[in-house]
Amino acid sequence: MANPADDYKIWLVINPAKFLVPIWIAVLATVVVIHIAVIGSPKYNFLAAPAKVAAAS
Amino acid sequence: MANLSGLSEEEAKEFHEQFKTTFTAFLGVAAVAHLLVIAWKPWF
Repeated sequence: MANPADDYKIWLVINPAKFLVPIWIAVLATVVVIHIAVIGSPKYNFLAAPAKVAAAS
Repeated sequence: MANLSGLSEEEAKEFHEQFKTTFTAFLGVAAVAHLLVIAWKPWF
């Protein structure tokens, strides 16, 4: 058993027809949590921060 | 002997090729996003 050559074998255990969408949902949930954490931080709140370019004009 | 997932070796290899392609594209987008943030405000 050697990786990454044997990585494909995960699909011998979990069927992508059943688990690919749940994998996407897990990735999406992770992305949403990370973005909420980033927006929650004052330094990196990219929604509140005024864009420098817009501020310069 | 049938595998747990029901896929054959060939089917698993075939799907994994597509999975790697899509995952590589996802990593590319994430890398670009991180580079933009580093250019905006380095976090280290």
